[in-house]
Amino acid sequence: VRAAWLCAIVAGLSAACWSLVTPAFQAPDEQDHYGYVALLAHTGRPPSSSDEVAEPEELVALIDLRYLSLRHQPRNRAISAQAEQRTLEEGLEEVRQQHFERRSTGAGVASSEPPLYYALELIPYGMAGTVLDRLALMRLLSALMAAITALFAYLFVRETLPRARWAWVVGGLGVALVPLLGFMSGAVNPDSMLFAVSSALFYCLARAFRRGLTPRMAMHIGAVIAVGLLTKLNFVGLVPGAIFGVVVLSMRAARPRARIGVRSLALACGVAISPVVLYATVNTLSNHAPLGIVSHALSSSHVSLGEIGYIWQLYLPRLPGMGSDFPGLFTTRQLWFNGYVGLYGWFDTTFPGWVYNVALIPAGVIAALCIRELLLSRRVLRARVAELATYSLMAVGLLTLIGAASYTGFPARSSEFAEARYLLPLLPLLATVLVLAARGAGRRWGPAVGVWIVVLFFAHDLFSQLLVVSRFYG
Amino acid sequence: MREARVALVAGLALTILAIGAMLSHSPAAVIRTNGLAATVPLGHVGENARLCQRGEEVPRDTSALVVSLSAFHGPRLKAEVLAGARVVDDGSLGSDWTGRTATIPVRPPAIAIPQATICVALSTRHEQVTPFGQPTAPALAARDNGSALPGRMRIEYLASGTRSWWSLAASTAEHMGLGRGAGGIWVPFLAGALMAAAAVTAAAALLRELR
Repeated sequence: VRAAWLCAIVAGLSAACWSLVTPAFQAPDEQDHYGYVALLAHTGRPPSSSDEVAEPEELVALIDLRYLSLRHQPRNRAISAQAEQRTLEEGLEEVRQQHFERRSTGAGVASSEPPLYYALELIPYGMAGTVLDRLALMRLLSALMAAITALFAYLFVRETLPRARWAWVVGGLGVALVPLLGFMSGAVNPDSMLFAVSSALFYCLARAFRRGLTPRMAMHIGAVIAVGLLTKLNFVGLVPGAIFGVVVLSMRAARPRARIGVRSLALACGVAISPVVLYATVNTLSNHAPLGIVSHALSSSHVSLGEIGYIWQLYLPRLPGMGSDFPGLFTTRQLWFNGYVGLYGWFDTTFPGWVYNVALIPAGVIAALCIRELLLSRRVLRARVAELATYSLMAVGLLTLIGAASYTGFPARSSEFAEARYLLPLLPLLATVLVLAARGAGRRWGPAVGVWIVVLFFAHDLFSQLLVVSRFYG
Repeated sequence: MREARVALVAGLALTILAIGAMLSHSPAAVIRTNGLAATVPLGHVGENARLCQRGEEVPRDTSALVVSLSAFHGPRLKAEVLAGARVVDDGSLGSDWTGRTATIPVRPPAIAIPQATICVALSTRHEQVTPFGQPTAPALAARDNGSALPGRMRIEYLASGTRSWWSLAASTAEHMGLGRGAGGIWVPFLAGALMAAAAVTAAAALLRELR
């Protein structure tokens, strides 16, 4: 367990460093997520519209920090003169001395998100006096979420690969040093908490598969799902797979004692959906749509063959008979792999092109070692097919959700939500891949390969931070 | 265990060497712009568009053209620099660029090219691309396959810089301290200390567990 805490510390330190490196509001949608917390702090209510109007202090900061001229324009630099800093400080001081009535009830793209992460962010929000100090403290809370993510990723591999004791640390540290985890957890964004909760869910399920489902564990799984549903809508993608896992586990538990199986299933499902039921009841009683802004999105959604083909091609090469939705684009490589290797800021900060080509080499070696180990352990895999199906369903559910959301903007925007950060709820699976890769190198060379994997992830993290430094401050 | 220790020392040494090599490199710098602000969208262009803009001056040693085009996942771009009707330079950028500008590397010309026409061809893609620039009279405007856009695009010209990252380190560190509430020169040092602490903690965890 000590190693798990060390992994958590490494993740927390990396994310805290990212919180210093990334200029204010130059992470995806950070101004809206900050605005959500400000709205909660001032009105005590979550957003009721998707207006994008910041509080006056935030607005002054956005203007004086040249937010709009930095965003999407990688040739422009962050403020670089003491005079600009003074203008910023004077502007913030001036707006603090005046009383502005907040009129907006929206938080832009963040408006449709559930309130739990934002409610937690109220604590650091209330501890500082200015918008930039608040933002810095709020980012540190996100960094704490990165630590929780790495902690549970380590515990997940401990449960799923119990015989690979020496290699667990490779998975935990690998996840801790994923640059995209640090970048997103170094910003104000509910993704940071989503990664942590998803990691906890994977761990709970793995523990239940290894040690059996008890009513207590069922309640834990239900509680984690409930927290996830209150954190970010993307979590919904993991739920079908998790429910499948709970059903399988309940059936196993019912074999010796039927009542325990049924009770566990009821507890997990009951606790999991309780916040959704409560939310829908409150909305219905107050004559609002049951699921708030989400209800509108659900009512306008439809499934078609075209959509299924689109979702497939968003991740994988086109199959015969499918229309070409991404001509000239190898989505697996260009959207997802390149997005994972390096796409920071407002998706405007990238490495030189050759870096993405070179990155294929270590990725290929890790994949090959992992496949080798899987082939060597195929007998064990067969015995754990239900557990594998659970994790696979969770992954497929998440990918489908992202694909369906992207399809709503298609074809005007070919792949609006094709951002590698949306895959980070699956980080515990990456940890497993890394552990398997280290084991795949054999007992003699495995530790050395494990060290190389961690050093590689550390270097990737470090160079990603230097890239962001050069883009904004160079 | 010995192999793990050697791998750790070698890996960290290589990382430090790579950082040193990177800091010796000179970042590209803007050596000229066409003076237009990229504030006005000039409509949308679709598949197989070919945008041409006359009256540009390409400085010598230009290593990349930064064209103000906006896309979520941009298509492959092929740029040509024409002197009259003759192509004197060209370059291309692969698909999946994103943002409000596209940086297209070109072969640095040995001499400046006055009164050049810059053409950018977009490969077939469904996603719309938006050029940004300033409105102008149709005679001066950029053209998409011969049809005038509402204005001219902003174009910047990049060339290899003369100062290495080492020589820019002090000013970069100073800039990092700005734009914050409680900022200052301590910011880059704290960031460095955090990553150093992460490295030490990770190394300790590895050496402890990989026995």
